[in-house]
Amino acid sequence: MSAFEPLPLHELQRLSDEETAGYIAGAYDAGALAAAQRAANILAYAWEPRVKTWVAAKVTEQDVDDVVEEVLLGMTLACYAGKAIGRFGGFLRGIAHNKIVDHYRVLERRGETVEIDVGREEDDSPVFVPKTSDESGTVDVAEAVGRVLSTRSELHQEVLRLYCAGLPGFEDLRAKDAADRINEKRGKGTMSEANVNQIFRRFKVDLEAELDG
Amino acid sequence: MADLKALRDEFVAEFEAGNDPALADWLSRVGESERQDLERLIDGYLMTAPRRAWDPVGFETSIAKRAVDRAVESLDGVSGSWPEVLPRLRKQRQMLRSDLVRRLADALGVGTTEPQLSKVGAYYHQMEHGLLPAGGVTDTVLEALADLVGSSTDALRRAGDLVWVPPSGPTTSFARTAMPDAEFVVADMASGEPAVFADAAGPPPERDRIDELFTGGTE
Repeated sequence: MSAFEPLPLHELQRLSDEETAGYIAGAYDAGALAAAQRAANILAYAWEPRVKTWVAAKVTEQDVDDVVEEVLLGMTLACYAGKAIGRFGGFLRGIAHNKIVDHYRVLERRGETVEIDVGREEDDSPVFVPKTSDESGTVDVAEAVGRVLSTRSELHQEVLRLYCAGLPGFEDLRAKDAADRINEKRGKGTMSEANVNQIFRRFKVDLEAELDG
Repeated sequence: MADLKALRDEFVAEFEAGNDPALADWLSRVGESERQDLERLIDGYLMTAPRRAWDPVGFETSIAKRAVDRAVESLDGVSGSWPEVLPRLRKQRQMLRSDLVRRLADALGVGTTEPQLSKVGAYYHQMEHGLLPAGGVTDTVLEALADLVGSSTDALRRAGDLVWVPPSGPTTSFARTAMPDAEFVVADMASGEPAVFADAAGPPPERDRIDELFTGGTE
Protein backbone atom coordinates (compact mmCIF):
# COMPACT_ATOMS: atom_id res chain seq x y z
CA MET A 1 0.00 0.00 0.00
CA SER A 2 1.41 3.38 -0.98
CA ALA A 3 1.72 6.37 1.36
CA PHE A 4 -1.25 8.61 0.87
CA GLU A 5 -2.20 11.84 2.60
CA PRO A 6 -5.82 12.94 2.26
CA LEU A 7 -6.16 16.64 1.47
CA PRO A 8 -8.71 19.02 2.97
CA LEU A 9 -11.35 20.33 0.58
CA HIS A 10 -9.77 23.74 0.02
CA GLU A 11 -6.48 22.13 -1.04
CA LEU A 12 -8.25 19.55 -3.17
CA GLN A 13 -9.98 22.33 -5.07
CA ARG A 14 -6.64 23.92 -5.87
CA LEU A 15 -5.30 20.81 -7.63
CA SER A 16 -5.20 20.75 -11.42
CA ASP A 17 -7.39 18.21 -13.17
CA GLU A 18 -4.39 16.00 -13.83
CA GLU A 19 -3.33 16.20 -10.19
CA THR A 20 -6.87 15.43 -9.06
CA ALA A 21 -6.99 12.36 -11.31
CA GLY A 22 -3.69 11.19 -9.82
CA TYR A 23 -4.98 11.89 -6.32
CA ILE A 24 -8.08 9.74 -6.93
CA ALA A 25 -5.96 6.82 -8.12
CA GLY A 26 -3.58 7.21 -5.18
CA ALA A 27 -6.39 7.43 -2.67
CA TYR A 28 -8.15 4.37 -4.02
CA ASP A 29 -4.93 2.44 -4.21
CA ALA A 30 -4.30 3.22 -0.54
CA GLY A 31 -7.81 2.22 0.48
CA ALA A 32 -8.79 5.84 1.27
CA LEU A 33 -12.23 5.44 -0.24
CA ALA A 34 -13.87 8.56 1.13
CA ALA A 35 -10.97 10.71 -0.05
CA ALA A 36 -11.11 9.16 -3.52
CA GLN A 37 -14.84 9.71 -3.79
CA ARG A 38 -14.66 13.32 -2.59
CA ALA A 39 -12.10 14.12 -5.29
CA ALA A 40 -14.08 12.21 -7.92
CA ASN A 41 -17.18 14.23 -6.99
CA ILE A 42 -15.31 17.49 -7.49
CA LEU A 43 -13.77 16.43 -10.80
CA ALA A 44 -16.99 15.04 -12.29
CA TYR A 45 -18.97 18.09 -11.20
CA ALA A 46 -16.32 20.41 -12.64
CA TRP A 47 -16.45 18.76 -16.05
CA GLU A 48 -20.18 18.08 -16.36
CA PRO A 49 -21.05 21.28 -18.29
CA ARG A 50 -18.27 20.77 -20.80
CA VAL A 51 -19.10 17.11 -21.31
CA LYS A 52 -22.72 18.11 -21.78
CA THR A 53 -21.70 20.59 -24.47
CA TRP A 54 -19.79 17.91 -26.37
CA VAL A 55 -22.53 15.33 -26.04
CA ALA A 56 -25.40 17.70 -26.86
CA ALA A 57 -23.72 18.55 -30.15
CA LYS A 58 -23.93 14.92 -31.30
CA VAL A 59 -26.84 13.28 -29.51
CA THR A 60 -30.57 13.92 -29.58
CA GLU A 61 -31.91 15.88 -26.64
CA GLN A 62 -33.67 13.01 -24.87
CA ASP A 63 -30.46 10.94 -24.76
CA VAL A 64 -28.03 13.66 -23.69
CA ASP A 65 -28.21 13.13 -19.92
CA ASP A 66 -27.78 9.36 -20.23
CA VAL A 67 -24.70 9.71 -22.44
CA VAL A 68 -23.23 12.43 -20.19
CA GLU A 69 -23.70 10.06 -17.24
CA GLU A 70 -21.88 7.30 -19.12
CA VAL A 71 -19.00 9.67 -19.96
CA LEU A 72 -18.63 10.82 -16.34
CA LEU A 73 -18.93 7.22 -15.13
CA GLY A 74 -16.20 6.17 -17.56
CA MET A 75 -14.08 9.12 -16.47
CA THR A 76 -14.47 8.22 -12.79
CA LEU A 77 -13.67 4.55 -13.27
CA ALA A 78 -10.65 5.45 -15.39
CA CYS A 79 -9.39 7.83 -12.70
CA TYR A 80 -9.75 5.19 -9.99
CA ALA A 81 -7.77 2.79 -12.15
CA GLY A 82 -5.06 5.37 -12.81
CA LYS A 83 -5.81 5.29 -16.53
CA ALA A 84 -5.79 9.07 -17.07
CA ILE A 85 -2.89 10.00 -19.31
CA GLY A 86 -1.71 13.37 -20.60
CA ARG A 87 -3.78 16.53 -20.46
CA PHE A 88 -7.03 15.72 -18.73
CA GLY A 89 -9.21 17.64 -21.18
CA GLY A 90 -7.95 15.64 -24.14
CA PHE A 91 -8.30 12.42 -22.19
CA LEU A 92 -11.90 13.17 -21.26
CA ARG A 93 -12.71 14.37 -24.77
CA GLY A 94 -11.55 10.97 -25.99
CA ILE A 95 -13.79 9.18 -23.50
CA ALA A 96 -16.71 11.39 -24.53
CA HIS A 97 -16.20 10.61 -28.17
CA ASN A 98 -15.96 6.87 -27.55
CA LYS A 99 -19.19 6.92 -25.48
CA ILE A 100 -20.97 8.86 -28.23
CA VAL A 101 -19.83 6.25 -30.73
CA ASP A 102 -21.10 3.51 -28.36
CA HIS A 103 -24.43 5.32 -28.18
CA TYR A 104 -24.76 5.31 -31.95
CA ARG A 105 -23.92 1.62 -32.07
CA VAL A 106 -26.81 0.98 -29.69
CA LEU A 107 -29.14 3.08 -31.85
CA GLU A 108 -28.05 1.14 -34.91
CA ARG A 109 -28.73 -2.14 -33.13
CA ARG A 110 -32.19 -0.84 -32.24
CA GLY A 111 -32.69 -0.10 -35.93
CA GLU A 112 -32.91 3.64 -35.42
CA THR A 113 -31.64 5.95 -38.13
CA VAL A 114 -28.28 7.48 -37.36
CA GLU A 115 -28.03 10.88 -38.95
CA ILE A 116 -25.45 12.77 -36.96
CA ASP A 117 -21.84 12.47 -37.99
CA VAL A 118 -19.77 11.64 -34.93
CA GLY A 119 -16.41 11.66 -36.64
CA ARG A 120 -14.27 14.16 -38.42
CA GLU A 121 -13.61 14.15 -42.11
CA GLU A 122 -9.95 13.35 -41.85
CA ASP A 123 -10.49 10.34 -39.63
CA ASP A 124 -10.41 6.84 -41.04
CA SER A 125 -12.76 5.74 -38.30
CA PRO A 126 -15.40 7.63 -36.36
CA VAL A 127 -13.04 7.87 -33.44
CA PHE A 128 -11.94 11.16 -32.01
CA VAL A 129 -8.25 11.84 -32.13
CA PRO A 130 -7.34 14.12 -29.26
CA LYS A 131 -5.08 16.90 -30.39
CA THR A 132 -3.70 19.34 -27.90
CA SER A 133 -0.88 21.02 -29.77
CA ASP A 134 -2.92 24.03 -30.86
CA GLU A 135 -3.94 24.98 -27.34
CA SER A 136 -1.32 23.81 -24.92
CA GLY A 137 1.89 23.42 -26.88
CA THR A 138 2.21 19.77 -25.94
CA VAL A 139 2.80 17.15 -28.56
CA ASP A 140 -0.11 15.45 -30.25
CA VAL A 141 -1.33 12.78 -27.87
CA ALA A 142 -2.42 10.43 -30.61
CA GLU A 143 0.98 10.60 -32.28
CA ALA A 144 2.75 10.01 -28.98
CA VAL A 145 0.51 7.01 -28.26
CA GLY A 146 1.33 5.62 -31.69
CA ARG A 147 5.07 6.07 -31.16
CA VAL A 148 5.14 4.44 -27.73
CA LEU A 149 2.79 1.67 -28.82
CA SER A 150 5.05 0.80 -31.73
CA THR A 151 7.82 -0.03 -29.25
CA ARG A 152 5.63 -2.73 -27.69
CA SER A 153 5.19 -6.35 -28.73
CA GLU A 154 2.08 -7.36 -30.65
CA LEU A 155 0.64 -8.97 -27.50
CA HIS A 156 1.25 -5.90 -25.35
CA GLN A 157 -0.26 -3.64 -28.01
CA GLU A 158 -3.34 -5.83 -27.98
CA VAL A 159 -3.55 -5.61 -24.19
CA LEU A 160 -3.18 -1.84 -24.25
CA ARG A 161 -5.86 -1.42 -26.90
CA LEU A 162 -8.24 -3.39 -24.73
CA TYR A 163 -7.37 -1.68 -21.45
CA CYS A 164 -6.57 2.00 -22.07
CA ALA A 165 -9.25 4.68 -21.86
CA GLY A 166 -9.73 8.00 -23.63
CA LEU A 167 -7.63 7.06 -26.60
CA PRO A 168 -8.83 6.55 -30.14
CA GLY A 169 -10.13 3.05 -30.75
CA PHE A 170 -9.16 1.79 -27.30
CA GLU A 171 -11.77 -0.26 -25.46
CA ASP A 172 -11.40 0.77 -21.81
CA LEU A 173 -12.06 -2.70 -20.38
CA ARG A 174 -11.25 -3.61 -16.82
CA ALA A 175 -7.99 -5.48 -16.35
CA LYS A 176 -9.74 -8.80 -15.75
CA ASP A 177 -11.88 -8.46 -18.87
CA ALA A 178 -8.86 -7.51 -20.94
CA ALA A 179 -6.97 -10.55 -19.65
CA ASP A 180 -9.97 -12.81 -20.30
CA ARG A 181 -10.28 -11.48 -23.85
CA ILE A 182 -6.59 -12.19 -24.53
CA ASN A 183 -6.86 -15.67 -23.02
CA GLU A 184 -9.93 -16.49 -25.11
CA LYS A 185 -8.04 -15.56 -28.22
CA ARG A 186 -4.55 -16.81 -27.42
CA GLY A 187 -5.16 -19.60 -24.97
CA LYS A 188 -5.63 -19.93 -21.23
CA GLY A 189 -2.89 -18.54 -19.03
CA THR A 190 -1.50 -16.14 -21.61
CA MET A 191 -2.46 -13.07 -19.58
CA SER A 192 -3.37 -12.30 -15.98
CA GLU A 193 -5.01 -9.26 -14.48
CA ALA A 194 -1.73 -8.38 -12.78
CA ASN A 195 0.08 -8.62 -16.13
CA VAL A 196 -2.40 -6.19 -17.68
CA ASN A 197 -1.85 -3.69 -14.90
CA GLN A 198 1.91 -4.03 -15.20
CA ILE A 199 1.88 -3.62 -18.98
CA PHE A 200 -0.27 -0.52 -18.61
CA ARG A 201 1.87 1.01 -15.86
CA ARG A 202 5.01 0.72 -18.00
CA PHE A 203 3.20 2.10 -21.02
CA LYS A 204 1.88 5.05 -19.00
CA VAL A 205 5.35 5.90 -17.70
CA ASP A 206 6.82 5.85 -21.20
CA LEU A 207 3.89 7.74 -22.71
CA GLU A 208 4.08 10.46 -20.09
CA ALA A 209 7.80 10.79 -20.73
CA GLU A 210 7.06 11.08 -24.44
CA LEU A 211 4.36 13.70 -23.83
CA ASP A 212 6.69 15.70 -21.63
CA GLY A 213 9.06 15.79 -24.58
CA MET B 1 -14.95 33.14 -44.92
CA ALA B 2 -16.13 33.33 -41.33
CA ASP B 3 -14.03 34.76 -38.54
CA LEU B 4 -13.66 31.52 -36.62
CA LYS B 5 -11.79 33.01 -33.68
CA ALA B 6 -14.51 35.61 -33.22
CA LEU B 7 -17.12 32.86 -33.23
CA ARG B 8 -15.07 30.89 -30.72
CA ASP B 9 -14.80 33.97 -28.49
CA GLU B 10 -18.53 34.49 -28.72
CA PHE B 11 -19.07 30.86 -27.68
CA VAL B 12 -16.62 31.27 -24.79
CA ALA B 13 -18.44 34.36 -23.54
CA GLU B 14 -21.76 32.52 -23.58
CA PHE B 15 -20.29 29.42 -21.92
CA GLU B 16 -18.58 31.37 -19.16
CA ALA B 17 -21.78 33.30 -18.54
CA GLY B 18 -23.40 29.94 -17.79
CA ASN B 19 -25.79 30.13 -20.74
CA ASP B 20 -25.19 26.55 -21.97
CA PRO B 21 -24.47 27.50 -25.58
CA ALA B 22 -25.34 24.73 -28.02
CA LEU B 23 -22.20 23.81 -29.91
CA ALA B 24 -24.27 22.62 -32.87
CA ASP B 25 -25.74 26.13 -33.25
CA TRP B 26 -22.29 27.63 -33.52
CA LEU B 27 -21.16 25.01 -35.99
CA SER B 28 -24.22 25.62 -38.15
CA ARG B 29 -23.17 29.23 -38.54
CA VAL B 30 -20.22 28.33 -40.76
CA GLY B 31 -19.91 26.46 -44.03
CA GLU B 32 -19.17 22.75 -44.00
CA SER B 33 -15.56 23.29 -44.97
CA GLU B 34 -14.95 25.44 -41.87
CA ARG B 35 -16.98 23.41 -39.41
CA GLN B 36 -14.18 21.14 -38.32
CA ASP B 37 -11.83 24.03 -37.74
CA LEU B 38 -14.38 25.84 -35.60
CA GLU B 39 -15.17 22.65 -33.68
CA ARG B 40 -11.49 22.14 -33.01
CA LEU B 41 -11.13 25.71 -31.78
CA ILE B 42 -14.08 25.38 -29.44
CA ASP B 43 -12.91 21.92 -28.33
CA GLY B 44 -9.54 23.42 -27.56
CA TYR B 45 -11.21 25.97 -25.32
CA LEU B 46 -13.45 23.41 -23.60
CA MET B 47 -10.51 21.11 -22.90
CA THR B 48 -8.67 23.85 -21.03
CA ALA B 49 -11.51 26.06 -19.80
CA PRO B 50 -11.72 27.07 -16.13
CA ARG B 51 -13.40 24.32 -14.17
CA ARG B 52 -16.82 24.76 -12.65
CA ALA B 53 -16.41 25.60 -8.98
CA TRP B 54 -17.43 22.98 -6.46
CA ASP B 55 -20.96 23.43 -5.17
CA PRO B 56 -22.08 20.69 -2.76
CA VAL B 57 -25.73 21.68 -3.11
CA GLY B 58 -25.67 21.74 -6.91
CA PHE B 59 -23.80 18.45 -6.91
CA GLU B 60 -26.60 16.63 -5.10
CA THR B 61 -28.91 16.86 -8.13
CA SER B 62 -26.21 16.65 -10.80
CA ILE B 63 -25.52 13.99 -13.40
CA ALA B 64 -22.01 13.93 -11.95
CA LYS B 65 -23.36 12.59 -8.66
CA ARG B 66 -25.25 9.78 -10.39
CA ALA B 67 -22.12 8.84 -12.34
CA VAL B 68 -19.73 8.86 -9.37
CA ASP B 69 -22.22 6.96 -7.22
CA ARG B 70 -22.49 4.25 -9.87
CA ALA B 71 -18.72 4.05 -10.13
CA VAL B 72 -18.28 3.75 -6.38
CA GLU B 73 -21.07 1.19 -6.07
CA SER B 74 -19.42 -0.81 -8.81
CA LEU B 75 -15.94 -0.57 -7.30
CA ASP B 76 -16.81 -1.02 -3.66
CA GLY B 77 -20.02 -3.00 -3.70
CA VAL B 78 -20.67 -6.71 -3.61
CA SER B 79 -22.31 -7.01 -7.03
CA GLY B 80 -19.27 -6.69 -9.27
CA SER B 81 -19.86 -4.26 -12.12
CA TRP B 82 -23.67 -4.59 -12.12
CA PRO B 83 -24.09 -0.97 -10.91
CA GLU B 84 -22.14 0.07 -13.99
CA VAL B 85 -23.72 -2.36 -16.44
CA LEU B 86 -27.37 -2.89 -15.44
CA PRO B 87 -28.59 0.74 -15.52
CA ARG B 88 -26.85 1.18 -18.88
CA LEU B 89 -28.48 -1.90 -20.41
CA ARG B 90 -31.87 -0.95 -18.99
CA LYS B 91 -31.68 2.57 -20.37
CA GLN B 92 -30.51 1.28 -23.74
CA ARG B 93 -33.76 -0.68 -23.80
CA GLN B 94 -35.57 2.51 -22.78
CA MET B 95 -37.06 0.87 -19.73
CA LEU B 96 -37.89 2.49 -16.42
CA ARG B 97 -36.79 0.44 -13.47
CA SER B 98 -40.39 -0.08 -12.41
CA ASP B 99 -41.19 -1.45 -15.86
CA LEU B 100 -38.24 -3.80 -15.83
CA VAL B 101 -39.09 -5.04 -12.34
CA ARG B 102 -42.63 -5.83 -13.40
CA ARG B 103 -41.44 -7.74 -16.45
CA LEU B 104 -38.78 -9.52 -14.43
CA ALA B 105 -41.29 -10.64 -11.83
CA ASP B 106 -43.53 -11.86 -14.61
CA ALA B 107 -40.69 -13.75 -16.34
CA LEU B 108 -39.71 -15.37 -13.05
CA GLY B 109 -43.28 -16.51 -12.51
CA VAL B 110 -43.47 -15.09 -9.01
CA GLY B 111 -46.47 -12.87 -9.69
CA THR B 112 -46.80 -9.23 -10.52
CA THR B 113 -48.90 -8.21 -7.56
CA GLU B 114 -47.91 -7.04 -4.10
CA PRO B 115 -46.02 -7.93 -2.03
CA GLN B 116 -44.08 -10.05 -4.56
CA LEU B 117 -43.52 -7.15 -6.94
CA SER B 118 -42.01 -4.95 -4.24
CA LYS B 119 -39.75 -7.77 -3.16
CA VAL B 120 -38.42 -8.35 -6.67
CA GLY B 121 -38.03 -4.57 -6.96
CA ALA B 122 -36.02 -4.38 -3.76
CA TYR B 123 -33.69 -7.16 -4.90
CA TYR B 124 -33.22 -5.63 -8.34
CA HIS B 125 -32.54 -2.25 -6.71
CA GLN B 126 -29.79 -3.93 -4.68
CA MET B 127 -28.32 -5.38 -7.87
CA GLU B 128 -28.17 -1.95 -9.52
CA HIS B 129 -26.60 -0.41 -6.42
CA GLY B 130 -23.95 -2.98 -5.63
CA LEU B 131 -25.67 -4.26 -2.49
CA LEU B 132 -26.66 -7.78 -3.46
CA PRO B 133 -23.89 -10.40 -3.46
CA ALA B 134 -23.60 -11.45 -7.08
CA GLY B 135 -22.85 -15.08 -6.22
CA GLY B 136 -26.25 -15.47 -4.60
CA VAL B 137 -28.22 -14.47 -7.67
CA THR B 138 -29.33 -17.58 -9.54
CA ASP B 139 -28.95 -18.21 -13.26
CA THR B 140 -32.75 -18.21 -13.51
CA VAL B 141 -32.79 -14.53 -12.57
CA LEU B 142 -29.86 -13.67 -14.81
CA GLU B 143 -31.39 -15.53 -17.74
CA ALA B 144 -34.67 -13.64 -17.38
CA LEU B 145 -32.87 -10.35 -16.88
CA ALA B 146 -30.56 -10.92 -19.83
CA ASP B 147 -33.55 -11.53 -22.02
CA LEU B 148 -35.15 -8.28 -20.91
CA VAL B 149 -32.08 -6.07 -21.33
CA GLY B 150 -30.66 -7.69 -24.45
CA SER B 151 -27.63 -9.34 -22.89
CA SER B 152 -26.66 -12.93 -22.06
CA THR B 153 -26.68 -14.90 -18.82
CA ASP B 154 -22.97 -15.44 -19.16
CA ALA B 155 -22.22 -11.75 -19.71
CA LEU B 156 -24.26 -10.76 -16.67
CA ARG B 157 -22.64 -13.46 -14.55
CA ARG B 158 -19.20 -12.28 -15.62
CA ALA B 159 -20.11 -8.67 -14.87
CA GLY B 160 -21.26 -9.70 -11.42
CA ASP B 161 -18.08 -11.62 -10.80
CA LEU B 162 -15.90 -8.68 -11.73
CA VAL B 163 -14.20 -7.74 -8.51
CA TRP B 164 -12.26 -4.53 -8.71
CA VAL B 165 -8.60 -4.81 -7.85
CA PRO B 166 -6.62 -1.57 -7.58
CA PRO B 167 -3.79 -1.40 -10.16
CA SER B 168 -1.16 -2.05 -7.51
CA GLY B 169 -2.91 -5.22 -6.40
CA PRO B 170 -5.37 -6.21 -3.71
CA THR B 171 -5.12 -4.24 -0.51
CA THR B 172 -8.01 -4.20 1.88
CA SER B 173 -11.50 -5.50 1.37
CA PHE B 174 -13.69 -2.60 0.28
CA ALA B 175 -17.00 -4.42 0.26
CA ARG B 176 -19.83 -2.38 1.70
CA THR B 177 -22.65 -3.71 3.74
CA ALA B 178 -25.38 -5.46 1.84
CA MET B 179 -28.03 -4.28 4.27
CA PRO B 180 -30.83 -2.24 2.76
CA ASP B 181 -30.76 1.48 3.45
CA ALA B 182 -33.21 4.33 3.27
CA GLU B 183 -32.72 4.56 -0.50
CA PHE B 184 -34.91 1.52 -0.89
CA VAL B 185 -38.05 3.12 0.31
CA VAL B 186 -37.94 6.43 -1.48
CA ALA B 187 -38.56 7.30 -5.06
CA ASP B 188 -35.51 7.47 -7.27
CA MET B 189 -35.42 11.25 -7.37
CA ALA B 190 -32.59 11.39 -9.86
CA SER B 191 -34.44 9.46 -12.54
CA GLY B 192 -37.88 10.58 -11.54
CA GLU B 193 -38.98 7.00 -11.30
CA PRO B 194 -41.58 6.03 -8.77
CA ALA B 195 -40.58 3.66 -6.03
CA VAL B 196 -41.91 0.21 -6.78
CA PHE B 197 -40.99 -1.26 -3.45
CA ALA B 198 -42.55 0.89 -0.83
CA ASP B 199 -42.76 -1.81 1.80
CA ALA B 200 -39.22 -2.87 2.60
CA ALA B 201 -39.38 -2.56 6.34
CA GLY B 202 -37.74 -5.58 7.86
CA PRO B 203 -36.91 -8.98 6.49
CA PRO B 204 -39.67 -11.41 5.57
CA PRO B 205 -40.47 -13.96 8.25
CA GLU B 206 -39.35 -16.91 6.16
CA ARG B 207 -37.56 -17.49 2.90
CA ASP B 208 -39.73 -17.85 -0.15
CA ARG B 209 -39.10 -18.55 -3.82
CA ILE B 210 -38.08 -14.93 -4.49
CA ASP B 211 -35.42 -15.10 -1.76
CA GLU B 212 -34.16 -18.36 -3.24
CA LEU B 213 -33.99 -16.87 -6.73
CA PHE B 214 -31.99 -13.82 -5.65
CA THR B 215 -29.87 -15.26 -2.85
CA GLY B 216 -29.89 -19.00 -3.41
CA GLY B 217 -26.63 -19.15 -5.30
CA THR B 218 -25.63 -20.35 -8.73
CA GLU B 219 -27.85 -23.13 -9.96
